[in-house]
Amino acid sequence: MQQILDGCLKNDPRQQRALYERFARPMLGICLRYSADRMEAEDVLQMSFVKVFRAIHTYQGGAFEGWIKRIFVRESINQYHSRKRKPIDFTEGDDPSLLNHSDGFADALSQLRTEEIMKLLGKLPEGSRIVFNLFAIEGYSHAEIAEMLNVSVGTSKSQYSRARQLLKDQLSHSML
Amino acid sequence: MSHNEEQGFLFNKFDDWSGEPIPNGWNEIEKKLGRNRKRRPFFWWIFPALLILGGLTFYAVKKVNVQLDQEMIVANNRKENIQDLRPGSQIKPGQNQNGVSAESASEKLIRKQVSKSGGTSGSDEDNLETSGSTTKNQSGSNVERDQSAAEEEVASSIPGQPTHSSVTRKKRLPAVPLLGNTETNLTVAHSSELKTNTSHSSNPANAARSKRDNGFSDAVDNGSLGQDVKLDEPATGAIINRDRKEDDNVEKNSSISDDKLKNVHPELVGIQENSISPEFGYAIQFLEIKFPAMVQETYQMGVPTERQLELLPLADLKPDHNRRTSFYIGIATGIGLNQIGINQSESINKVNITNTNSIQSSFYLVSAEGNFNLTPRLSVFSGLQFGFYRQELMLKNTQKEPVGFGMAMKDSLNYNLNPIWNTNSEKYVQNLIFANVELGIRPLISVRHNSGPFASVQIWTRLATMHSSSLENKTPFVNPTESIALAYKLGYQHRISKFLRAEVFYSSFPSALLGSTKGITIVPRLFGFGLSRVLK
Repeated sequence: MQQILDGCLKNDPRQQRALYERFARPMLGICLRYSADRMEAEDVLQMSFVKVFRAIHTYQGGAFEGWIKRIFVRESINQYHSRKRKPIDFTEGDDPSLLNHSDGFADALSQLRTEEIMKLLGKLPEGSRIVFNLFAIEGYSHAEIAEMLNVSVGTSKSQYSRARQLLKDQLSHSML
Repeated sequence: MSHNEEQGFLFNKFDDWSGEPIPNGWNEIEKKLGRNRKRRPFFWWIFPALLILGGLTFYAVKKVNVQLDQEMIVANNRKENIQDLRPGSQIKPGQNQNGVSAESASEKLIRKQVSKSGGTSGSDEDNLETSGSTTKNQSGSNVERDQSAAEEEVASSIPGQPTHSSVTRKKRLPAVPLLGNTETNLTVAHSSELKTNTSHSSNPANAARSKRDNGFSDAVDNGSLGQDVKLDEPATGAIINRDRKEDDNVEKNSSISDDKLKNVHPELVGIQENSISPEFGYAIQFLEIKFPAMVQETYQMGVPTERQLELLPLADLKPDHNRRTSFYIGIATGIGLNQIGINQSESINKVNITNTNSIQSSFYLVSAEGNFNLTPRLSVFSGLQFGFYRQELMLKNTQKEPVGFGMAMKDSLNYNLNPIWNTNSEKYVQNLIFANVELGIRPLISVRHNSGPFASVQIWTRLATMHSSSLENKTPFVNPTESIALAYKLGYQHRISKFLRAEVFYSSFPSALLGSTKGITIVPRLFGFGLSRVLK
């Protein structure tokens, strides 16, 4: 891995390609979770790799996978903003204090296969989907999410609650 | 499970989850990396280079054309000289139309006193302006001019043909009246200008020979009719060979008085050292002029046969088009015909094109073009075009994600959620400013072929792209993928006037230079009409 990184620092095309081949698949998985469709995910993947190659000299060591993953997550969010579509409506959502967190939602969702979860996530509003991705899958805290999305912590929580409720509804609907 | 306990609870689920990137994903990244590195230098260098190339081409074309124009002006001046040399025309004192002073000219003049037998002055003019006459008898002068020589001279007198060719070929001259019953055939070789060495003092034989050959009388110089000069010695410096048959009955030596000369050429009396006979005004000045011009003057009066006209390119008959190279500027406009592909699965929105008429493309361009004639029928051309392309789409967008759900209750336990879609009509506009260089072939215009097809290959580049939408939430825009792309052009041209050329053409359009909207693929084809004007 160090050899690849050294090569990328020297703009060696072979090492850059090696890095791409090593991380393209898992990173595309991240992009697919945040993007509206596969085409957009591919665009984000390519743009993110370009950014990685340009910014690789800023890598200070540590877990490279975590470093590159953050770039892809941020690029996915930036891509969403750059589409200039309707701003994410973070104001809607239920009061998180009213949610019952002992309803077995997490267990039920964990029982599903990844592809099934992806289908359910695809039906979420984009704001809720992004927050759910960041919180439940990436493991960011609401404070970090609020900083990344430039919203309040409360908004992040309410969006998560909304996503949770919608997913719960979908789960119950599919069971019916 | 508390709220915070769900943080990252699906992390492991998705840790190994991945997708399969498209096969050419790496190529796309390389393009982005390469394009970002090279685009700026290319952008800044290609257009100055094109401008310099265009300027050099323009300069070269102008230079060649100026040279050709000058040659034609010289030829025309020669014609004027002939006309002005006719008896009665105005000659400035001390200088003739060739810019040769009378003093210098007098050195070249071969003076000879002649008798005005037969009144040849009037018939001389006839001789010069008559082409194709076979034999003309006038007052004992036997003038020959056969048809074959005339035809040969027709070819050599066409503008653009090397005028000296008529001289380098051994040719029988137009009729020149000589004195007495003298049959004279002039043959000229190796020079386009006739010169005569009249150095009397160095070689009396030469002087006598030249004087006699040119019809002058020794009496003018010596005051006597007879002079014992040996004519067998070789002449020096003369390039006129004259086959001569002398008639014994001809009065070779005669005299002409200044009074007679004054009647015809009063401007010459007292200015030139030696008097010139009106008849030999032709003969003398004939030595001064450019010989091909005389031939050209002769053929200007003649009419080429229809067959000859058919064989000659029209361009060769038009002095302004008689160029090896030519330079055009033009304008063109047209519309684009679009081939549309829709891939809804890749589109964020469900996009419907309301109707095919609502996709409108148009372009406008200016061009500069240099033509180089390869053959009398074919030319190769290279052009530079700058233009503007506009594409308007009327789209009906329906977002795939519903803006909300309406609940329809069946009973207290059963209900349906109906999605609420946001549908908008969108006018999507893309503008492209482009440039291209092209290389192609065109047929040359001729009498029979005033029009013809042409073809070229083009290298396009985009200078700027702009896109706009009537909606705030417009259809996502995908940036152009290429900076340079190839195209081809097929067309048909027609010359509608001497300087104006019209053409219709079909051209492929490198759609990679245009941005696109996700889910919609548009491949335009251009149909256009243009006008070009040749530059002098």
